Amino acid sequence: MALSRKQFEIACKTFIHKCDSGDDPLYTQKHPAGWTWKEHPTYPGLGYMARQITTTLRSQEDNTRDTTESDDSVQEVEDVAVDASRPSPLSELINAQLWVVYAVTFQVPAFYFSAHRSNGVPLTLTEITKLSMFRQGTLPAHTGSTFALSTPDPAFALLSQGDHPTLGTPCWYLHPCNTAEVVGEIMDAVDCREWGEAERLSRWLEAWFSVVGNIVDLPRGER
Amino acid sequence: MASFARPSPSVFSTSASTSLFRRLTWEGTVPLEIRVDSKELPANSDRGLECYFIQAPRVSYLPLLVPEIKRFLVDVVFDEAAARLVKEEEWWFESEEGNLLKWHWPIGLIYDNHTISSSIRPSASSSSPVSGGPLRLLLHLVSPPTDKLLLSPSAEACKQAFMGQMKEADFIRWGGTKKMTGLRKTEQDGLWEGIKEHNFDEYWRVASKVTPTTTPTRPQSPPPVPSSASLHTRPPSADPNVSPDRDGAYNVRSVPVRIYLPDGPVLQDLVPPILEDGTAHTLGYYLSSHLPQLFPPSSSDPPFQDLAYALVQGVLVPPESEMAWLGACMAGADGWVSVCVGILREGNAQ
Repeated sequence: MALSRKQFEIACKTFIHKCDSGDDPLYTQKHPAGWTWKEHPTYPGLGYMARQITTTLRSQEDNTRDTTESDDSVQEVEDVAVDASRPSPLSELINAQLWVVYAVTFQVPAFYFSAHRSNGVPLTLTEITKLSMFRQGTLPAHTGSTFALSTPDPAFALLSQGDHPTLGTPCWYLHPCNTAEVVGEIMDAVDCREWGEAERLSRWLEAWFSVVGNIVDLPRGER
Repeated sequence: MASFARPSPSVFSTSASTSLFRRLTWEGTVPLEIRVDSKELPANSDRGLECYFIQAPRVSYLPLLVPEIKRFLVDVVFDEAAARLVKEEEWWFESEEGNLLKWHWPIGLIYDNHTISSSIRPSASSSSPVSGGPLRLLLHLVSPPTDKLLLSPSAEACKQAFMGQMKEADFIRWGGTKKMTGLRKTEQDGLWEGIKEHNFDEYWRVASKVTPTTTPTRPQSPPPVPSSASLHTRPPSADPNVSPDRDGAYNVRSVPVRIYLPDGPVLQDLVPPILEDGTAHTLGYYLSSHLPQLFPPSSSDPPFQDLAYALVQGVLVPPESEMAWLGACMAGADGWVSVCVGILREGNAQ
């Protein structure tokens, strides 16, 4: 099941209203809140949802351990000691701008983001894969490319650079090609006869967030 | 840049004319004048020679020109010390007017986009849609603006961007990417090699497997609806004149089209080849339904004149051009029809 751009807009606005209204106090526990609806400054009908979060770069220990496995045992002991002395390693804070945009080609929402260090320098693809906002193990290991992350036999790269569809600015995005199918399966499993159009569409977006949530760990419980 | 006469479907839908237009599109080149930003020229550079002229293929990309430009700079302009320090992965381009040029856009699109951007600037001298002069580029050697350009331009990154566009065009046309993913790895690589070498035959040997064909049926009438039943009972080989052409330009789900506006967002919508009333979807209809203030519908009363013009591959395209035909014959090598809309002003009309 696909969404038209108009349906996308209704879904987003209804979703934001549910988050902000407080009608259901548990709503923001269940769904990632904190989004605002934005429009292109001059051209109407290209709206999207935006949200800013602070995330961290995963520390290097995992990688260090991987590369030192074949080294002598002294190195291993040292690594363990470092781990023990830093139960919560000081992680670098990263500003991430998140967008949920309408992907015309696939007729579904798509998850776009950009990630910068505090000095404004954007992260490389290798660094992107170490962001703690991505669930560990969900992004394939770095392939040596600077442009996109591909899985072994993909129709599309899972994660790629691209222009923001409305703003035209450089972004990263998770490829939306299979979303419609998966969200459709979730929606088929629920009884939506009682719902009006807006409610059904916002439920569609909630299901979409839960699909994206398999990869992106979006913070809950905030407004 | 040339303006074509009104296409007559009987002439323009033969396979001979299809390959003619595909070749014309492919062979299109644009003149570029590339100058290193004088503030960034290394010490001891030969300042009399810092300009480089090239006639670049429309289907090519800026990162593919970089090795050639680098060779020129290293051999002719820079001294040995400066040549050793060149880091071309830091290079970036902007137009004379200060517009940043996206390295993942085809060069033809960059050129046309510059033409339409000039159409809204006060200095009218360079704003004619048919001027055809060189596009003056400023080459910067360091510190690309990462808030405006994608990271890490390289031929390999460009290839990935290109393949992504090809697959997306495939998805738009057929609702899936079976045609693109059905290609062997060597075939997919052949598409990119064709662009790198500007080799029509190498590219189209593969591209013809994913690009729709133009049908010999009259485009004004809706093509027969393909159904699995008719395919089984009447295989295409038995009667080619009446069998549904499943790979035909008028049978795609949607034509891959983007509209570029001067200083505006890039617009994309689904573009069915046939409208609900059974007539072919024309460029004029498409533009007037998306940009009615620039392209007033012909039914408007009193009738208004268009305030803008549309360029595809540098060509002023007549409004009666059919979207399906444009998709099959005048799409870029990445599969997309890029419609660049410029503003008509007194003195720069065609």
